Amino acid sequence: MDWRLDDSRPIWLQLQEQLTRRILSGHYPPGEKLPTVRELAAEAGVNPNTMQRALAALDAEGLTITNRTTGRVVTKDEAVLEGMRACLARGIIEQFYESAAELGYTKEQALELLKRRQNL
Amino acid sequence: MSAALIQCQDVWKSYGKKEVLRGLNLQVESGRIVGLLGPNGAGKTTLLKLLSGLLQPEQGMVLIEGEVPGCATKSMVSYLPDKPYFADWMKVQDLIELFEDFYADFDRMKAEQMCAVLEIDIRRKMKTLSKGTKEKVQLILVMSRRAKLYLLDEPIAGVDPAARDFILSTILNNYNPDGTVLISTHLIADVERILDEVIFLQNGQVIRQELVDNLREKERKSVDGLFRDVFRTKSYEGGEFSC
Amino acid sequence: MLKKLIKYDLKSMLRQFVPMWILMLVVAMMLGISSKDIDTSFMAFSLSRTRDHAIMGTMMLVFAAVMVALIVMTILFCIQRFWDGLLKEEGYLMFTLPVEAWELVTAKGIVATLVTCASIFVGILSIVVIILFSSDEVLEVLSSSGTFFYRTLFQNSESPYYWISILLWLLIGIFSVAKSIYQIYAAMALGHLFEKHRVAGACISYVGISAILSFVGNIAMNMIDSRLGREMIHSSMELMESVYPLVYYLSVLLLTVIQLIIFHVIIERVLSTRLNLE
Repeated sequence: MDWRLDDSRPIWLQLQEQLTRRILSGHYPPGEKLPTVRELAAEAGVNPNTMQRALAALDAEGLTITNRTTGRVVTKDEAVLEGMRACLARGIIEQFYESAAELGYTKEQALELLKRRQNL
Repeated sequence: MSAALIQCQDVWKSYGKKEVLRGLNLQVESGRIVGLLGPNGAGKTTLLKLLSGLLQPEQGMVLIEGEVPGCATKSMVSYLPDKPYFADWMKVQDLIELFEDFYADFDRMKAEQMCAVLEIDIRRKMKTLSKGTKEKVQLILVMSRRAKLYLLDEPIAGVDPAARDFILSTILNNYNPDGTVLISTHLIADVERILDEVIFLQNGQVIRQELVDNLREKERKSVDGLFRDVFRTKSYEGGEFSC
Repeated sequence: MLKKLIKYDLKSMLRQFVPMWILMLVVAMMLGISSKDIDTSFMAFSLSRTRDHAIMGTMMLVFAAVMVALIVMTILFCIQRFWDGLLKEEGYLMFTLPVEAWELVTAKGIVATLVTCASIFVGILSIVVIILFSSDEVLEVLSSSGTFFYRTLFQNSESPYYWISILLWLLIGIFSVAKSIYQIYAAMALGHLFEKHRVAGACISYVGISAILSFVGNIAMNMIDSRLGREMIHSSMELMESVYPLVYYLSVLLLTVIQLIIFHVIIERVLSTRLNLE
């Protein structure tokens, strides 16, 4: 999985998004210990302080738990993970409707497109 | 409250009649990677030379951890000039030994490892190396010190993109997290991702200093984009293609 | 820190000069041998004599060439190590080391003085070598000149001032070399202040310094030569006749050291406050 970053948006926000996706996709499974801040920052080619801010945001969301002895671990709490998954999914759906609207489709027409795609 | 790592108060510096720094005020904390950005002639190199003790201000004060640049600050400041700065007749390992001799914070093994990784034969004389390799050797020496302040003057200018990645990742991987790295550059797009903070320098003064992500949020632009806006020069409109 | 700086300059200096010194002595030896038993009488033409003369002539040229090369090398070394090493790109390395400006200058000065004195010594020694090897019985000459030297050296050894005089002589020699080198350094440092024309500035400064020194020297000589001066010297001479040469040497040494100190201060001040490497 590559880090794709856009310099015109705050980097820490993008890092948080991508880390979240990695967690939800199972790249970092529940209970797994994350690499250190420095390792992640080096991998992404970003400033460690920026990565630290993104990781702190993950802690705040409850997706990760930081322990002095065990380090930063992905939560095992399924409820939290599901909640985040649903939240992101809502965002994707909203984006879909917005993009379709830009092309001139109403919500009903967009939904039809989806169903037709499903039946293929 | 501990003193900031770098403090510049009302600093003036001229070269002959030409004023380069005009009443510059600056404060930089430790533990940051800071970009010093500005067009050519803004005074970036001059500021770095003042911080490294190679120049003295005509007026005003430059302080590194509360001290005027001198022998004591030089042992905690690691400076990388934008040109080669060693005797050509020296071998790479001679330079490594020199750094080890004079700098207590120099990590010889790290330097030798980095040379090995880049397949640089340390028994070779500097004058036999290509320009790009010389610059890498300089960078390796500077970054192998556990300094409190790293001053890098245009570390990636005139270097091919692959080498640029190496240099940036070297900076990220090797700097002392308790220290600060001050990078002066005009190649902002390549560098902005590793920066914590940026300082915009124009006409010898600091016109903006801000944390990078805050800047992105406020301006909804990359630092590179903002730089182009701030330092835009009007293009010549009297030529053949003008309407 | 100073010792470390000296070590670095010394290593590269020795690497350059030791082969040269050895070459000088070897060539001297060869010249000596080639002029041994040479037939200088004006007799009828003989091929072997011509050949011997040709060899000796060639060796003389070679010796002269090596001598000139050594002199040039020494002068170049002194100038270049300062100019390139402190006032050009290498200065970025040197002036960011955690050392004081005076330590950088002193290290260069000490090594330059050392190499110059050593080259002078080798030069004198090579002439001795020529004489030695051109004489018939090397060992005999060696021992007889050795005894001669020994006797001359210890001739006046009863006088306690004798050894002090010799010591002062040596010190004057060494410090004069150092002073000349520092004069060049001071000129280079002053030339550095002229941003666009540094080399010209250095040359002008050197001429200027020399002019000032000779000017001051003239005034001093006139003062000593004046009535008052001469009276003062006469009276003091009567008081300490045997000590007079000592006092003279000491004052020469003192003057040299004073000039040395003045130059050092000029150099150190310029480099600490007005350094501007491009």
